[in-house]
Amino acid sequence: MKISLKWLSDYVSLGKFSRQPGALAEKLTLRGIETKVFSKQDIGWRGVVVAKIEKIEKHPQADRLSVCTVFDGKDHLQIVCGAQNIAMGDIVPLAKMGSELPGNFKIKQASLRGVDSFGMLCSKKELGLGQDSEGIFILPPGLKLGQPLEKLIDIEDTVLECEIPANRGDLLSHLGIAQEVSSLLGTLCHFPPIPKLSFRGPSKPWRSTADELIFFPSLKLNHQGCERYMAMLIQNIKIGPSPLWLQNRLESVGLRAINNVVDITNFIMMETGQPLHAFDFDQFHQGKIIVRHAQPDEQFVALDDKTYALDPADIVIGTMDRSLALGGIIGGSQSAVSDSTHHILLESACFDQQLIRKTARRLKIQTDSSYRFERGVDIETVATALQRGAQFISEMAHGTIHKKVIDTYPKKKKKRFISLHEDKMEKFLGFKIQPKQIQSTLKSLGFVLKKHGKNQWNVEVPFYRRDVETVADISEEVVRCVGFDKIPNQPLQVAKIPVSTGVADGAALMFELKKYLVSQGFFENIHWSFTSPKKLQFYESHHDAITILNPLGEDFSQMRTVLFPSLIDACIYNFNRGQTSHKSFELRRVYSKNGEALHLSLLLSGQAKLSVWKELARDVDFFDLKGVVDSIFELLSVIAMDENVSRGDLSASSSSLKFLHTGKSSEIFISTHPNVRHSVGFLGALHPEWQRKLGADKEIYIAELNLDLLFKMHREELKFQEFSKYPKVSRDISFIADENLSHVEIIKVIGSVQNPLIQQIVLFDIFRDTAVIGEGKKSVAYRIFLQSFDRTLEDEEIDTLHAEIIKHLQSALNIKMRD
Amino acid sequence: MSESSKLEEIRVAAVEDIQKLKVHSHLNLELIEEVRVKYLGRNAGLICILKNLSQLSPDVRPQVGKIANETRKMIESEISALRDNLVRIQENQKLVSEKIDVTLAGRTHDLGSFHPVSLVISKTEEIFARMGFGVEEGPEIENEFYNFEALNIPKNHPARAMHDTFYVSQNVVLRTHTSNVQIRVMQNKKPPLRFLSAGATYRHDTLDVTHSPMFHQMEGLCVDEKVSLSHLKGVLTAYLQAFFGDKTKVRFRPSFFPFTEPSAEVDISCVSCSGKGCRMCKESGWLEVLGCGMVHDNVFRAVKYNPQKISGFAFGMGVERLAMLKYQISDIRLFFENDVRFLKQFRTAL
Repeated sequence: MKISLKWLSDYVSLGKFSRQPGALAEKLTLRGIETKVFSKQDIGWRGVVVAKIEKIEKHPQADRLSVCTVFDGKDHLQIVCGAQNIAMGDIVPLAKMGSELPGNFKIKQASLRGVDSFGMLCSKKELGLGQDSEGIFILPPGLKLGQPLEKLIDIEDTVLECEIPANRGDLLSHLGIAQEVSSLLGTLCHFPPIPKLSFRGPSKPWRSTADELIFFPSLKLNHQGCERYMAMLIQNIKIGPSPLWLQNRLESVGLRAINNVVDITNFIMMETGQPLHAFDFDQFHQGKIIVRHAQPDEQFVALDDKTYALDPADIVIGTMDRSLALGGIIGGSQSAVSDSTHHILLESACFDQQLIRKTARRLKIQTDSSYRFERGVDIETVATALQRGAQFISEMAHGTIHKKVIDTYPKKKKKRFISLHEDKMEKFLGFKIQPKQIQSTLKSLGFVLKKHGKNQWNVEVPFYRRDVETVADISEEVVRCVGFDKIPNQPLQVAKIPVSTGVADGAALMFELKKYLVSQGFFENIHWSFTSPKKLQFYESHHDAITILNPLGEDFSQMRTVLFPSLIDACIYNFNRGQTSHKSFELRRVYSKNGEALHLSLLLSGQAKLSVWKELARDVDFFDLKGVVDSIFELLSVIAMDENVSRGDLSASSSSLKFLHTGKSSEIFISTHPNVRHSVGFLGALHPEWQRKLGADKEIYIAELNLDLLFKMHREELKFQEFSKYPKVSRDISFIADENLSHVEIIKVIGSVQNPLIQQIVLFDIFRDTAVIGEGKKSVAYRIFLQSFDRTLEDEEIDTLHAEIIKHLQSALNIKMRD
Repeated sequence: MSESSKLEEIRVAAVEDIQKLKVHSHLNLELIEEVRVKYLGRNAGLICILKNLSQLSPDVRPQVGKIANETRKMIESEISALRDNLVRIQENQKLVSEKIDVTLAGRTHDLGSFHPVSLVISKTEEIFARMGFGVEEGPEIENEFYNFEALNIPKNHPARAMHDTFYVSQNVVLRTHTSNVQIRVMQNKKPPLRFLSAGATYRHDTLDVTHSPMFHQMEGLCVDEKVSLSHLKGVLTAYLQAFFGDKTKVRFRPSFFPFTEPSAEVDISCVSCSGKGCRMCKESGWLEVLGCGMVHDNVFRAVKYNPQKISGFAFGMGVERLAMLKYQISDIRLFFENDVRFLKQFRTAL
C-alpha cells in the first residue's frame, strides 16, 4: 500500500524522519511492515499556468480538433486542441510557448492543419500527475488566472510502499500507519476530529425542489455476512472535480481522481481504512434498501461494465429485485455516481471477511474495498468514517445531509481481554523485557492494560486489532516493538531425541546412490512433476495418472507416473545445444492414483567417453547401462535374481513396454524367495520408431527402477567373509554354439555341476565368422576359476572337474567343443 | 708358482680387465657379468685359492688368506661399482628417452554432478544434523487439512492468497509448502521433536525469472518443553553463518504467517556487496532468505499437543532461493532446464 509522507504528517509529527524517509522505512520494516521509499522526483515541467477557456470553435480542416481562445490573465491566446472534454469557461493548465513538459518536450508555436497554435492545454498524464490521458486536466473554478501551476500542486512528496501483513487489516490506511509511527517515534498521533454534523434537511418526508416526494428509506438486513451497516442520505449535491489538494492526495497514492463524491469516498478509505460507497440514490426508486443474498441465477453488471453471475452466498445491496452493488466488493454500473446524480446514499459497512474473500476470489475481482474487507475493518470506524465522509461531501459537493442515519448493528461486539503474565512471556521469548516497557509499548499501540497482580495484566484489545487473540500475539506485539535484534541467540540444549529414523536411513541411501552416479559421470536432473497427457500416452504411462484441475496449461496438467520421458527430453535438448554425449539421472517421486513412489531413472546416449587423444571414441551400448544398474544393485546389496540383475528374458519385456527396442531391452526382476520374483523396472534402448518420432539422432538408453521396492527388500547385514588362503586356478572352455543360446543359459548349465570348487565363471571372448564357424553360430570362451578353502588343488582333480563341466555342457546344449 | 705370485697375477689381470670395462664404449651388464664370473665364479682361480686355504701350511696361510680376501673384496667392489654406475646411466637415459608431454589432457573419468538443489539440501541437512535435527518426509499430493486447516489457514483466509494452489480434487492439493510434514510427524510422534524435511512444493505461478510453479522447500521443526524465540534465533543464525560464511550478518524482522506467532522473516547481509547496497539487494544491503516463528497454539491443538506444556519453533526456506544466493544464479528457470552447461558447474560446489 502506498503511504504519502505529506498525508501521514497530517496525523503524526515525523520530526527528522520527514527528511529521512529511508530511515523511517527501515524502522517500519524492522517492525514487521516491509517498507520501501518511492520518492517523487523533480516533476519535470516549467512555465505551465492557469488559464480559462473563453471560446471553442471547430477547426475548419479537422473534425477532431478544436480551436480555442484562452485567457491567462494577461493575453488571449489561440490554441489548437484535440481533447473532447473541454467546455467554455473551464479552467485548464496551459503550457505557454517556451515552457517545458516532462521528457524535455519544449512547447513552440506550431501550425496544426493550417491553424496556428500558441501553446498547449495539458492532460494530467502530460504533467506527470496521474494516468489520466483521456482529456485535459480540468482545474477547479475560482483559481487566479496566470499563476504558475506548480504553486497550486503539492508536488514534492515522498511516497512509501508498505507491504502490509495479511493479518493487519488495521494498517491499510494512513491513520493505521500513523498509529504505528507514533508508537515507533514516541510522538502523539492526532486523529481527525469526529465532525459535528450539521443536519439541515427535514426528518420527515421531504419535498425536493421538483416537488417530488422522497421517502427516507428503511433498511432490511437479510444476510448474516454483514456485521454492521450504516448509511446516510445526502441530497442536492453538485458533482464536479474535487479540490486540487484532495486530487493530489489521491494521485500520490496511485488513485485516479474522478469526481468530488467518488474522490471523497476514496480519500476516507485511504485515511481510515474504511471503504465507503456512494449510490445514486434515485436508483433505489424510493424502495427499501435490502442487504440480501443474491438470488440463484442473478446477474450483476458492475462498475467495470462486466456482467457477473452471482451465487446465493454473495452479499448484494439493492432492492428486492435489483442489485445495485456487490456488497464490499464493487458498485453497480446503474447506481454509479455520475454528473447527473442529485442525491446519494453514502454507505459505510462491515462485511464478513470470509464471504467477501470467497466472492472476490470466485469472480476474480479485487478492489481496494474488497482487499480491506477481506482483512477486516474496524467496527467502530464504520461510524466515524461515514460521518467524516458525509461532512466532506456536504462541504465539497454542497450536499445536505439528511438527519436520519441508518445504523444496523445486530450483534454488538464485545471487547477482548487477554491475561498476560510477565514470567510466561519471558519463558516463551527466552529473555526478559522490563514490565515498564511492556506497559508503555502496548499502550502506544492502543491496548489498555489493567494491573492484575504483580507483573500481571488484563489487556484490553482494541476492536481494530482483530489479529490479537492470544498471549503469543501480545508477546509478538511487544517483542516486535522492542526489536528482534534485542533477542539473544541461544543454542539448543541436547534433547533426548531418537537418533535414527527410517526416513533418515532412506535419505542416506539416496545420497549414496546419487554420489555413486555422479562419480560415474551422470548429471542429476530435476524436472517438473507435471507433464502433458500426450507425453504420458506416447510412452503408454498414462494409466492411473493424476490430473490437475487447474493446471497452468494442457502441457502441465498431469503428474508424472514415470521419470524417463523428462530425461529423454532433456537429452535431446542438450544434443541440440552441441553436446555429443549425455549421461543423466533423476531420483524423485512419481505419482499415481495408487500413491507416490520413489523412482530412479537413468539415461545414456551418444559417446561413451568424450574422445581422448590416443583413444577412439565409441558410442554407448546396452552393456554400459546394464553395468551401472548392476553396480547399483551391488551398492544396495540387493540380491538379484539369478546371477544377473537383469534377466535376459527379452520377449517378456518387449511385449509390455512398446516404446523399447525389442531386441535390446530387458525387464529387471529381483527375487525375495526362490521362485518369487518382482519386477522392479526395466532397461533398454528406445524403440527406433519412438526415436524417430522424437527426432533423436542417436540411440538412447534408458532405465527406470522403483526404489521403494528395492529399499524394502531385505538386505543382508554387512559381515566379513573368510576368504581362501589357497591358490586359485583357472581352466578355459571354448565352444561353438547357436547365436540364440544366451549367456545366462550357459552359466546355468555350468552352475548345475554344483561343485563348490567353482568360484567364478567369466566369459572372455565371443567370436563370429561365417566362413570359419558357420552361419548363425558364435564361438564363445569361458574361463572357470576354481579354488578350495582347505587345500591346494591337484592337477588330476582339476582335470576331472573340467571334463565333468564339458560333459554337462555337451549333454544339455547343442554345442561343439573347440580345442 | 707360489700362491702369492699367483694372486698377484690374478690381481693384475683383474685390474686390467676392470679398467677395460671402465673405458668400454658399449658397456652392458653381460660384459660385467663375464668379468665377474671370470674372477669370482665358482671355478675362478681366486675362488679356488680361497677354497683351498686350509690345505696351505700354517706359516703362509694367514698371509695368503689376507691377500686373497683383499683381492676378492677389491674385485667385488669394483664390479658392483661398475654395475651400479651402468644401471644409473641406463636409468638416466630412460628419463630422456621416455619423456612425455605432461601438458596433454589427463585420461579423466568424466564426473557428473549433483543438481544444485540437491547440493543445498544435503549441505543444510548436514549442518542441522550437527544440531540434532533428523530428517522426515511427507506426501507432495496432500489433503487440504494437512496443507492448510491444521496449519491454522482456514478456508477463505487471506493467507491462502499467498499460496495459489493446484488442486487435483476438491480437497486434495499439490502441497504449497513442506509444512504439511510438521503436522504428519506431530500426529505420529510425541515431543521432543527436532527434524528437517525437504522436498518439492507447488504454487500456481507462471514461470518467469523468479517464479516457478514447482520449487523446493526445507522445513524445520523443534518442539520441546522450553523452546523459546531465542533458541529459534540462535539455531537459524548458526545455520545461516555455517551455510553462507561466518561473516554473514543475520537480521530478524517481524512478519506474519498463520502457523507461527510471533513470526519473523530472516535477512542476511547481501552476498554480493556484503551489505553496502547493490543491484542484487536493491540497494538495501539485505537479502531475505527464510521465514520462521514460534509454532502457533492452534497448530499444536490440531495435532493434540498441549500448548500449555510445550512450545516450539518452525522455519521454512526456499531451496532454489538459497542456491540462487549462494551460487549467484539469477534465473530460476535454469534449475529445471537441466542444461549440462549449467549442471556441470556444480561438480565441485559445496
